[in-house]
Amino acid sequence: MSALLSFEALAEYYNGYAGIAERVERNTLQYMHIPTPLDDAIEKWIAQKYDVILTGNPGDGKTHLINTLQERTSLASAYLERDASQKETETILNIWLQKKQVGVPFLLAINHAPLRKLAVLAKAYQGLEYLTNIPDEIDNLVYYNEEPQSSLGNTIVVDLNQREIIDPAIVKELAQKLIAQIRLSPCSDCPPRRCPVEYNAQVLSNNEVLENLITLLSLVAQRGFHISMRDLIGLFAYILTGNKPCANRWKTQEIDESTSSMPTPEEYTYYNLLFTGKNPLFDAIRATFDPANYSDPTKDQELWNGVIQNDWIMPDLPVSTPATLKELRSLKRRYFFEHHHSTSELLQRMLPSMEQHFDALVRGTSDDLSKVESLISMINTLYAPIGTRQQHADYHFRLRLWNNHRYSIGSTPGYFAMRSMPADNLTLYRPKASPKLSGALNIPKDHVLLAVQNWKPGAAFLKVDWPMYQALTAAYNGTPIDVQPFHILRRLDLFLRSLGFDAGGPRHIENIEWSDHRQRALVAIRVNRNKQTYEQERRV
Amino acid sequence: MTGSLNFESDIFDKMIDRTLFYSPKIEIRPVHLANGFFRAICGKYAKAEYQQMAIYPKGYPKMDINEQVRGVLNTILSADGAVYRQAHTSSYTLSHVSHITRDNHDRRTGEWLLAILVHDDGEGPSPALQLLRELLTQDNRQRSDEISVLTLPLFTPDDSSLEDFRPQFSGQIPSSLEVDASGFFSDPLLYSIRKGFDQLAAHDQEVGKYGGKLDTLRRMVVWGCFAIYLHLANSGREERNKRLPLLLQMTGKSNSTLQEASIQSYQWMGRSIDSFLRKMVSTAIELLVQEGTYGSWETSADIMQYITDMNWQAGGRIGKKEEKLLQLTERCLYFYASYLSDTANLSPRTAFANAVTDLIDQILSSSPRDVARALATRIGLLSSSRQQKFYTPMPDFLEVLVCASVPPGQQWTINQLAAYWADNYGLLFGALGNENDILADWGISVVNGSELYENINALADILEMSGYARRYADGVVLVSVRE
Repeated sequence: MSALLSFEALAEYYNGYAGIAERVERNTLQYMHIPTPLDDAIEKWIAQKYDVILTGNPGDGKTHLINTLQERTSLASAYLERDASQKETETILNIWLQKKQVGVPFLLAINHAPLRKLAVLAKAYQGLEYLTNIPDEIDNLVYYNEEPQSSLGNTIVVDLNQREIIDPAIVKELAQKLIAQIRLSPCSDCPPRRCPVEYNAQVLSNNEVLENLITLLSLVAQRGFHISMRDLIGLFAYILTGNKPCANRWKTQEIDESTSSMPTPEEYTYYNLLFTGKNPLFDAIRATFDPANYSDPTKDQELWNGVIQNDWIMPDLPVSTPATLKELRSLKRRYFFEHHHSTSELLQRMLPSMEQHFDALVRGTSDDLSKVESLISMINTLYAPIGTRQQHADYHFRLRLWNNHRYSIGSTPGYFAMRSMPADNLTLYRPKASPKLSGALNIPKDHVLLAVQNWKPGAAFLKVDWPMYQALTAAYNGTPIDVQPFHILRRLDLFLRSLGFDAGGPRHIENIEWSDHRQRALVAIRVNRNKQTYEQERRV
Repeated sequence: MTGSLNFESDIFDKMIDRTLFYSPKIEIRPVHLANGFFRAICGKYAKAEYQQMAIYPKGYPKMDINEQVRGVLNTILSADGAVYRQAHTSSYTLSHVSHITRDNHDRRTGEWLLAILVHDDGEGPSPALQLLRELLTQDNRQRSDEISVLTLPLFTPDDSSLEDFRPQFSGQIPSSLEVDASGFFSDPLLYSIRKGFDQLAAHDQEVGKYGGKLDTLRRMVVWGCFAIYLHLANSGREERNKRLPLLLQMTGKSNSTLQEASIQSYQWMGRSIDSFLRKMVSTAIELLVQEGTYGSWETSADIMQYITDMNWQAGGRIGKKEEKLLQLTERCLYFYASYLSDTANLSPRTAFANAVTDLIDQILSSSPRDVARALATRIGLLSSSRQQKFYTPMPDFLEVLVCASVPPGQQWTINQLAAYWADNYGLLFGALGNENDILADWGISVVNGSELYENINALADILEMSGYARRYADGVVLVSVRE
């Protein structure tokens, strides 16, 4: 049976030619399309005579989507502009204007940079001037507090860069499509029942294994890595095939002039390939979680002793007792994906508690006020690390607006704070998709904003994403401020300085805290403004 | 001949008065510049002896203030390491007019910068002037930063009087601040400096009055230091519209073609200052000849006599040992002879000018080149290594640069930023595309294209992480200041 995707075509999706929609044949494109609620939303908008702009970064799937949807009769009434980069901006605007005058909806796929140019030039086009608001519209596609008011009228902007691809339905359908191709073309190059591609396809068609893979990819996404559709297809292409046709798979590899080695089937298993790919997504996976690098003492011991022989998802596949640490590492990976267990409990045992706390923070599964207090305590500790439990308790309730001063570069001798803000005045905001896009796409849940109650865009906020949470947790556990990354301090400084507006004016008696962070000491000095005297001092 | 010539006062200082006005002959730290700049802006300084005693426990052990408080005050106000026993030689890490001393270590840079801020060619003085005055002179109720509140009790009624600062800027306009017939600065570099102050003020107009006061003061001082560096570095240029190239290395790669070119671009700073000094000393000698104060300058014998009788240093400060001064005379005679030799074949006056210029770094406490280098290092523009200097700006300095360039509410592409930096400050980092052509004009070696590409990415990364840029995968980087 002839497959729509040959093996070579499948392999090309990994860092290759086939990941670019313009280069893919129409039937392949249709086959590879994964329907999402966005498809229906676009059809609905066009039916309602809305103009639609699909924007995003290369690889986000703009052209793919528009090429796929053009087959549908529901889009027949629209003018489709699928490759804006090939046309002058003025030409696009002229066509748009013409179509607008005759009531034809305009569907445009365009990268960020030309879209910004289009927004600037639109000012000169009577009837399209409102398109100058596109940059604001893009900024408002994700909102946090009050629903933003759109100033684009009947034009919808969809930024695919803000779409969360790691959705179980999308991942499963994609896996299913690719695996189906492999199953249609049995391997004739590998020894019988030893083809790793067939093994990978067989195992990855299991729902439980796929769920474990999705869990891992969700962790990567939660850390702020934007996974595009092209990345995801590339990932599957690689972990299924190892980027090698079976005819070449078993050839001896030269390590250096005098050494060569024969690849083992184990090297081509998806659970090992997942940690050997070469592109930013694979780098992010390695940096996030490789079961081989995290310990689960009891299970590790049992795996090492070859005790765990039951409850494997694929019971027919043999489980050998590892003879070397390398083999143990490989088995640990396989155990993570292919053994019946509670993955969340396994991750709880293997990953630092910080991961779970961050997960609870971004998903909003715990009480927000206690999370605010916890964040405030971490920020206070970062600037003023002290050891007493009593002071730490006080740290939860008031966020000090820490500051420092020095004209030359170099580390500051300490931090001081005169203003503070009660925890009750602060709250957490989570990202939401703009009402216009609601239901059409999921947005990543990879951060929260810490800001004042009734916060409005433009006011001070602290974006608590994975790097920030990691830094604050490390500070809380004793990492000195002097070794924190500059960008973390810069973001915190900006937040604390900007809160000055909300922290009240001068007081008759000012309480100034001085943190000697190196000595882990805190001094409070009270100054009476009217009497110009020091009131009292205390050391903690 | 009437008396012997003093190189420092009769030649160097005199010509500095006529040219630069600020005097780069002793190391200037950013905190010194802050003290002098804010003193010039406020027109006041504090006598504040009680304050000085309180914050310097080592010199004044017995005081009626809690020792711990004194310790904290000392740590905070001497964060820049310029507080000594006497107030008039100390420059505090200041935030208020009551912290300004009469310490003259800014070497008049403060007054020079003030002249740029007050300059009005139709649009009024710089908004930075008003903002800084407001921030520095907040009254007891308004003082909004921790340092000025902490020092409030030290400013007792007995010595609360602020002294008037007497500017040294008198009638004669130094050539560095010359204006043309229409009242515009002759040197366009001054407008580039001024624009930076104006932009910083525009960004900090509101936030400066609340939690951001200390940031505002710091940014203004860093910009002031950069202005002095830039001015000194460009002092020897022939064409006023040209800028000395300052090639920024944002990547950490050592031994790269980029680093080599950055080192060479830094070396141009020294050559430029050297060229300026030679011209300055030559002009000074011509003036001495015209004035006729010291008699004839025609023969080599006259000049050798001047060298032999020369007092190298001005009075009023700790001088070099007699032995060292004798060495200076010997060396100057030796250099003079070299410049007169058949190989160099210079006239006696030119040979003299060259000989004494070669000795400047041995005569003065710090040569102008050393002053420029130290200042740029302390603001985070130059690498801190003593061995190899190149431009590798720290994130804090980059932040000031961006805020001084991009107006509020605007988004610039990184190419726009590159063009603005190159045109105004000579700063290059790769985004122009013709950096190698510009560098070639200065005889600076070629930079590998891939290194320049990595350099742009590294700069974009830092700006993005600092919250000043947004990068799109299609290569577009938009830079803006969100306060």
